[in-house]
Amino acid sequence: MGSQGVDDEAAARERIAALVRSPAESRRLLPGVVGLLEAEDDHLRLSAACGICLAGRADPELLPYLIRRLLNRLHADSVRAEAMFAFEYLASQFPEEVDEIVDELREENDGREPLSYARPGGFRRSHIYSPSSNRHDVGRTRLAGDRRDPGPQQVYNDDGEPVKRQPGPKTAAEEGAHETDDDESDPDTSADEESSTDATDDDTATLEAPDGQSGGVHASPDERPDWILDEETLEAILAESAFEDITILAGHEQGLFSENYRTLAVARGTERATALRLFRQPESNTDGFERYLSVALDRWNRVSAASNVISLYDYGQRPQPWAAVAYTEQTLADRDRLPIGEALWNAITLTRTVETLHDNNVIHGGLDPGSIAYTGAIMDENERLTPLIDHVGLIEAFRFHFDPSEYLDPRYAAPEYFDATFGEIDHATDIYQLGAVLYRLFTGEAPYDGDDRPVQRQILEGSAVAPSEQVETVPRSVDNVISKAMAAQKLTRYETVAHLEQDLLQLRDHLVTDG
Amino acid sequence: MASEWLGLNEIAGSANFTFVAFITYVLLTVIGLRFGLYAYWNGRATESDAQITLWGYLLFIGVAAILSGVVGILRIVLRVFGDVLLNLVGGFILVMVLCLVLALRAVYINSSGVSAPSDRLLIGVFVVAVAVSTLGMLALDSMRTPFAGLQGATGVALLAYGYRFGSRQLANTRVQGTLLDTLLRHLLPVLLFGSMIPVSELAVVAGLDRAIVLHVQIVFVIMTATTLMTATIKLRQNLVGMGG
Repeated sequence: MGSQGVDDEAAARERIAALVRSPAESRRLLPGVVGLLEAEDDHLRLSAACGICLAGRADPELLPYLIRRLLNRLHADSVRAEAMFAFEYLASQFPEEVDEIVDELREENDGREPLSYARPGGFRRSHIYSPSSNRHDVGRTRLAGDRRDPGPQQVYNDDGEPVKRQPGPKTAAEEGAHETDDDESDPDTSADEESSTDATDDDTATLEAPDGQSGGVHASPDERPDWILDEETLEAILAESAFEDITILAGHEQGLFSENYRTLAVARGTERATALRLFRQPESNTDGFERYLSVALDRWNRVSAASNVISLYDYGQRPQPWAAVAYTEQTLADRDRLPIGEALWNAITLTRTVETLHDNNVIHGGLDPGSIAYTGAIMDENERLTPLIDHVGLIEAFRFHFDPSEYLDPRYAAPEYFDATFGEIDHATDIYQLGAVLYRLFTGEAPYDGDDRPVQRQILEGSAVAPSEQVETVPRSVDNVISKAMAAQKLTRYETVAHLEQDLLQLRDHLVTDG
Repeated sequence: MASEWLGLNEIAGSANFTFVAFITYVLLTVIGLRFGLYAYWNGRATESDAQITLWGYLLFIGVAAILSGVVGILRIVLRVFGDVLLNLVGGFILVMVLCLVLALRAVYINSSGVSAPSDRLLIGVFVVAVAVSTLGMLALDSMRTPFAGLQGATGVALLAYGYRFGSRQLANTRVQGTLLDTLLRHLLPVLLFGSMIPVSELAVVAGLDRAIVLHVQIVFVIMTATTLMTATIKLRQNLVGMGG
């Protein structure tokens, strides 16, 4: 951990300590402390949860804020046990108030349930906090190929018990026999819960619906919806991986190159919030594709430990190409235009990261807003989200087997993707596309817009509207930097990312000098 | 017949100097060939009109360097013609410098986005000066001093004019940090050392012994060849990026 990280952690601990000392008088610290529920450090998360409980207890007026923030973290694909703990505590201490807040949220959401995780012990009036049997999204797998060996890698139910395995799909009658018998749940919830089954005897991995609706889904292999990661796949991945456990936390979502599952992976006793990615495969020449992808993932792995590159924890080829990477919540594509200072800070950070890639002889090749991720975990609301570069080098494997436009936003693609006379895909391609990403950072818009053909023509002509003309507040000096990075001809493009970084640093100095 | 034409023809009556000059001209020929080839391949790889113009001028630089080197070698290995061939070497070097100036001018026009400067007359004067000085020295070797003066003056003018474009380019923020920027930085020393070869002729006009001037010139030819070699690296780098 760098000194900056140590300072941040010390500041976070100090913030929590201040909140614990005088919870009623430390309102201003709450946003930051709530943010710590996403911290990597278990101790920090637990301390933050305790601070939140104390604050809510000391000042019930804070409950609406706290409950809403906690629900955000518990909604759909949330994972942190500490957030659950804080929520459970406040719900147990202030059931009426919490119920009202949840009702308000339900109304605001047009009746959609604000929380889809199951709460043991029931909850007043709200069926959404149903007992643990609904948590079919949680399923741990064990080492594949040795079902009799309980071993360290084991499929568990939600109660932490090893799953009794029965080969072959179950009959409907068998499934019915295992339906949840939830004595603790609120009667209102029973209707929902009857449709779900107890994971204890469940022979299939079950997941939460992708739209965040409550209730897990139980299905035999034949009936399994296509968004479910089947158990055999998960087991095979676990067997090939270095993980001791992989817990599926949420149903799949469509990623750029893969189907993504939010997971909690345990390696050497340490839990990590991960995204399990199952890469798409071409219909033909899968061997060739897998070789390309393997090389690409090896390259990514080489720079995975670098700052601001999404960590690639593990990857493999069986039963289909997969990778477990650090979980992130959003991408640049999800964000609006950033303030100039933050955009410039992002730009410098990304440029340095791409420079690191190039120093390690790694070409990204597919930089666009979709490959710039943000964790969403910040200590303070005034802090900036740190950009992380995702999908390192994957486009190289995909572009020869799929239509590249499916995996790279054409509006950000370098001219060499459209016309070979502009040269090969190399480090200069990264410079161009980094320039296009900077354009997006400063203006909130893509450099080009429209249908494919006009966009392609504009890219080849290099006729983007200057950022300062797009957004008045953008300094004209930004135009120069971005136009050089996005020069159609490589000869007039930045020769190295270091040159781009140098200009950005000068730009920052100018902006600071000019106030 | 061949034995009458072929044979060691020492320059300035010095075997040592002749040996150094022979190596130098071979070096210039090889490097000029390499530079010209990469310029040609770059020109072939691009479809940008502006770049085609630039690579065209750079190709001519390579060709002029080859011709200079070949004629220099011929001066040493042929018993006939004598120092008249050295005048031709000086002429080709001047052509090379002129092409270099035109290349810098083309880059300036394209990267600055300005219209072509109204210097056609001046360019015409340069071309005429190069032609007159070279042909004059070839045709009237016995009266070469005034033509040598013209060649030297043309070298000074080309150096100044080319440096003007080059320095503007290097100060142009639209160019800084780009591959073009580093290419220009590599071409400027070629301009400097290349133009110093004809400029050295002014020393002859001033009364210095020509043998001494030839020694100085061969040093500048070596410098020109080596700087041309480093510039070739940038051409190769660009070609690789173009997929060549």
